[in-house]
Amino acid sequence: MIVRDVLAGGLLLAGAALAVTAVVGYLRLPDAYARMHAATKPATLGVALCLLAAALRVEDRSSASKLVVAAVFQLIATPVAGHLLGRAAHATGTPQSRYTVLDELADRDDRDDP
Amino acid sequence: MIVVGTIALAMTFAAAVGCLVLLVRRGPLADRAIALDTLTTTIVAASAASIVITRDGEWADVALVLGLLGFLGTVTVTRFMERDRGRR
Repeated sequence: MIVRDVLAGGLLLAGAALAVTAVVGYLRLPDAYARMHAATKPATLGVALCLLAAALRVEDRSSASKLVVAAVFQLIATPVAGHLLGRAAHATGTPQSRYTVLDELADRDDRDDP
Repeated sequence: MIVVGTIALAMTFAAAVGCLVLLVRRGPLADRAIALDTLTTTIVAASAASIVITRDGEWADVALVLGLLGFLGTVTVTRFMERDRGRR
């Protein structure tokens, strides 16, 4: 019982810390594309850790399984959302910072053809 | 456990406030879409933290459904972002 609580506490703190780093990374990074890494990566792992911590702590099994499903879904869906954000950001002509070395999509018209 | 949960909850609230600040900040549209996505994810983390504190499964549904809807929201936002620029 104690081990489970300690594990849940640790996972929860790690998850919350990652959620905070998502925002901090968002503030410091130069352009939208770099910020996308800051927003989607730690948020995905952070939330998955928080949900698993909650799954360890909750009493009834049905809620625990719901939380595990939510965590797995977050791990699968958020990268897809990040990809879509990147595509939309590039399609709307978001300015790139001076650190950008190569824009492979610059010449190719990446509008989805009807 | 209460202390750890409360600290985590406070951190998620701080992250959520940070996301709101980023949402209203001047900048390209893509930043706002990212802030929206992060805000939804942070709320899911906050509901998970509240489950750890109260050990009650009531908020598990919130976490699950908001995770799904947050993803749908982001997909819709990106769809409309591209639609305005995508017209030939």
